[in-house]
Amino acid sequence: MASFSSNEWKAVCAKFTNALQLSDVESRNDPENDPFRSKYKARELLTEIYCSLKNFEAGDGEEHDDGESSEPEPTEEPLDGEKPVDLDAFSRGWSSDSRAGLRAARLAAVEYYLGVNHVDTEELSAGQEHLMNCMKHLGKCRVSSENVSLFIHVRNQLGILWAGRDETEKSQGFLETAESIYQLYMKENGSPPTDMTEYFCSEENQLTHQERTKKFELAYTHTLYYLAQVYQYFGENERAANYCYSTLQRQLQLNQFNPMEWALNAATLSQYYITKGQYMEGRHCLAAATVISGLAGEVPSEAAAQESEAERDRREQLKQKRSEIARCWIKYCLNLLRDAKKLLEDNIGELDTDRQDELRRARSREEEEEGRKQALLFGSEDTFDSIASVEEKVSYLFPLDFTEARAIFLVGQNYVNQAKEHFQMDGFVTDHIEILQDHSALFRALAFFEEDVERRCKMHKRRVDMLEPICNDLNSQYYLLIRRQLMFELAETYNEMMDLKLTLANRQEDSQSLDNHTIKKFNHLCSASAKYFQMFLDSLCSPEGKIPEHLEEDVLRPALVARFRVARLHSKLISSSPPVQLDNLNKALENYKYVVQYCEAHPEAAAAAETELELSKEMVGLLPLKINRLKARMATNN
Amino acid sequence: MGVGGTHLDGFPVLQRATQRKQPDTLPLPLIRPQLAKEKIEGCHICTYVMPGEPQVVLGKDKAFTFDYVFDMESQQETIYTHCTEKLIEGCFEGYNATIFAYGQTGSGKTFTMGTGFDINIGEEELGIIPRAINHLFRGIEERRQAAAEQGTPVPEFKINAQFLELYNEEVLDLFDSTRELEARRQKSGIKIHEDANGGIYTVGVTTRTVTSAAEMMQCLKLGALSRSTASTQMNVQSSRSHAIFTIHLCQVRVCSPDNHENATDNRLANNSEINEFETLTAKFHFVDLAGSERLKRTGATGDRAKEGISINCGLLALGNVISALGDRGKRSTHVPYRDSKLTRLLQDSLGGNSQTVMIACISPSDRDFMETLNTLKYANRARNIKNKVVVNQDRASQQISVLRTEIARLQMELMEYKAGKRMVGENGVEGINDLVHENSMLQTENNNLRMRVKAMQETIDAQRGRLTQLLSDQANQALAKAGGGDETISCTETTSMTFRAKLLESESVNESLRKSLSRASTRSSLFAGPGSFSAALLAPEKEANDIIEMAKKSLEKLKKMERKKKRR
Repeated sequence: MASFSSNEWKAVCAKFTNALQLSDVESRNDPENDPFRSKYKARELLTEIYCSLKNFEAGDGEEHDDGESSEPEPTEEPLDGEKPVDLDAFSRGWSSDSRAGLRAARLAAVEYYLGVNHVDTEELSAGQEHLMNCMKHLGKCRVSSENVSLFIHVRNQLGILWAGRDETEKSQGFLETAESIYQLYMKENGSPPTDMTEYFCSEENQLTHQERTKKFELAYTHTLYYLAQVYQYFGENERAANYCYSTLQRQLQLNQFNPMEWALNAATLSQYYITKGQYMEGRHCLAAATVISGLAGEVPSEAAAQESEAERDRREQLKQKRSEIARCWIKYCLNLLRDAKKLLEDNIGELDTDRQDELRRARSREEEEEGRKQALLFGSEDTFDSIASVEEKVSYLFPLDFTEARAIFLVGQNYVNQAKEHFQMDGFVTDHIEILQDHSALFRALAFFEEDVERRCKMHKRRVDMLEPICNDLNSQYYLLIRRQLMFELAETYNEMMDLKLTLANRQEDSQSLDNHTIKKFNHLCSASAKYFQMFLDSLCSPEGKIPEHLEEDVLRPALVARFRVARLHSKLISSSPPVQLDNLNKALENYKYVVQYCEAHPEAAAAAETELELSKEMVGLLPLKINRLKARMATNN
Repeated sequence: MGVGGTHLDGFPVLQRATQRKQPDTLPLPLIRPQLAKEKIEGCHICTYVMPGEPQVVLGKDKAFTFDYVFDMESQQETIYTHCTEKLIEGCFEGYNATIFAYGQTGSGKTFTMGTGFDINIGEEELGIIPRAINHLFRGIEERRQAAAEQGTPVPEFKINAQFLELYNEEVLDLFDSTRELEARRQKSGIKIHEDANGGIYTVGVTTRTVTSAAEMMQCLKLGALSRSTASTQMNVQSSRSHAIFTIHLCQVRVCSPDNHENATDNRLANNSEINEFETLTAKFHFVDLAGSERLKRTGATGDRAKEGISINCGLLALGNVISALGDRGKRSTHVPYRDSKLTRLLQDSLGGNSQTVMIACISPSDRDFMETLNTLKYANRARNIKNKVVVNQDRASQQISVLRTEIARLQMELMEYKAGKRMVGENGVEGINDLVHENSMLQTENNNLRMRVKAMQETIDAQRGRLTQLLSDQANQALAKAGGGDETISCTETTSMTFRAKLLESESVNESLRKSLSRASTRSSLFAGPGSFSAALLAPEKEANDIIEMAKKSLEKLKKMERKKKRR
């Protein structure tokens, strides 16, 4: 630069390097009570650089500009908004190799760093001003490989700034412009662009093409990541998910990732696809997560952990994160089984063989016409095969029979055991129980596919065995909500077992009369189910044991359903003693009445349990008849 | 389920809480007075509280309604009585409680909580924590005295306190005076542990047992001094971490007679010779959160300081973005990441029987408009967040269909009893409905009915034949014996009377057949649905109708003939 003596320029460059060093490296060692010390120092240096640039170049810069460039001064950008970019941006304004262009880019870069500095030190409005100044300088230039990087960086920063203020539309404007600038640049030019840091360094310190590309691509990856947040904010979930996917894939390609963080993000993304029912994509994310998390290395042994604190931490971290991924896999298996069940069940929840045949035919048709195309593809050359081999271990197709369901169940169960190893009861009660609940749910889904009633019953017994002790051991004050869930599930499981026992008994004997053993078993299951429903209802009572007059919205339906089911169970109990029968029927009637009366007193509750209410009303009308009959018989017998 | 925060205004605490529990969170906005500095700089007041109404209007048109609003001139005393007093009383009954102070840096969180410890502070300016401590010890004294006066055993109290700081997801012990200030920034080795009995607790944290209010205040003061604060050009004193002051109250008292029978599980009852004792424990957390703007920043972009080095750290929050994408209502999913240490620490104190108050501290100045708006928005949302106990639905549908059949059966029985067809005397054991069984029974019934319909049809056909025969006979007779006399007529009359009787009979049989058919069809449709079964049922019903129609026609013909004859 002619107007700078080489010494003066060297001084500016040195200041700049120093400022970057202070801001990026030393600031991390600033003391707690003066957290921005280095940032403030960097700010001073940047301000000095800005002044020198202004002073040195102001006079002569403008003179020469008029001679060199015939183009008029470009119009300025709007103050705090952003307009869509078009090809114009690449042809309008000063060319970057012109003096004016170079000067503008340099000033813009310093403004950019000042802006970021102010934002970092919690002075947002000042930061915004500097960033907008940067925009103003850039607005006079046409986009080229010398300045495109800055074009994108400044918009990223403004995007974050406005997102932080909940002005997401503004944020979106900046980020989408950054995105189009990147895309247009790659289409029009595509050569590795100069990084802003290179404006202030000597020829010999210029970056290599590879380094330039990397920095530039990284900036664009940030744009995509911020856009993912913006779209999520606007509820455009599918779009947001695509941007998350692109961000992750680009990280992998650019080899810019921490394996464990990346794997967890991919595993989390799988959960999005699962909620969408896209199991092929969900599985791909999970397989990639498993493979990439493996890159983080072996879990340090217990012995190593005992010796050093660092190893202990690493052990904990790795174990925890791998268990988190395992838990995402569990949900994959569970939802796949459940969705298949929903497709296959008839209106009373049994396997519909017509549907089964239909789905089988549909599947073989699909297989003939080539498999579905995968929408996602994670991986680099060296990870691609290993991801595919993890995928092969579990199907993404809905299981249509017991064998297929069992294969998925076993994979899920394997992950249950893996996750439980870290999330142990002692230390992680809530997590441990969530995993157990999933395990129970896996059994429940598998039982649907099992044709043998006895074996089906055994599966439910396994559920009871894993949940019952925990439900009874948990502190009822601290784990109120978890216990409620467990009580409900146990009640339902016992109910299911009871029904199965009955089916079994009816099949074995043609006569209506059941043998004593079966009756005893049946009554046991029936009372156990009623007990847990009652326990659930009791947990809603006040400490003095009073039934709440008003049920909170979140327990309204469960409470009414539980009442209804308790009533049912009481009228199902088998007894040969008329007084016991009478007692059971009265209890049933009492509970049916509660449902009816509660809904009368709270008309808004009726909608929550429509069918139960309708049936309860009928039963309230009919049961007295049965009770009276029984009473009459008792009277005649006496 | 509308979970509170998104990534952009991510407030880690309540997110997890709302996911798993049902915090009865009571958000209460608190507007601090304008500072002298703000007045000098010419800041305008942009908040307005409707007189007599718990509503804050921000700017011109942004109104937020709460249960209560503390305006600028609210006294610390008022704030205390409105949001804390009740919670302390709850602690004596064994309920956990949590108070949060939330808001941007400089909105008065620390002042409200009372952990600033300004030496010149007056009695009326005391914050929530000092008042709560006084209240607690006063409550203990009152309970002891009351027991002494009544001559019942004096309840025993044990009070512990912990003071933790969360700085960059690291748990630090503010009571630990052995560590040097710098060393505190290193790993503290404090672990958060959760077990089946005690809920959440910390391992490796100093627990101070305290016997008086003064002693506890002293503890609090020492801890507050070692809290990380920083001075920046924006704020001379800014809290850059979360501080959690926890009081554990353990009480052994005589069971009061009214709740003695219904002692819930957490009241561990001990039988003694005369009195029954119960042990109640409660935790009270006072949480002074770091400035909301800091929470937000890390939520959106990760730790910025590290961001320049690698995108990984900038992506720390990607998980938060992704996890906000799915519609968790439909399928059960697992979301890693959401646990911050703060959430985990407070896990068992949010929701359930615990009470949670969130004091949303805001500044009245227009300069802070945006932050104030965000804080109010957040506070407004906090109370609407609820969690549901998942009740499995699919199972119930089968239960219901079974019950429907049962109801249908009972209704039939009822009808039969009313008709007097059934007598009391069968065994009272309720029959067990078996779908397959009932179905096949109905099918047999249906087949029988169909056979009967067929038989009826045959009879009617035969009758029709006989009728034609009769008609032709009659015609012949009429022709042959034109003046034949009364004998023939009366003979025909007798015949037609018999026919009529027969027709009437077949009509009524048909009618009853139709009834039982329609009953059978409604019953079967209860569990068969609109399947092939009920379609088959419709056919015989139609057939029966046809027969009746035909019988009616023949009857009509017969009548006509009779009339003709009579006229003659």
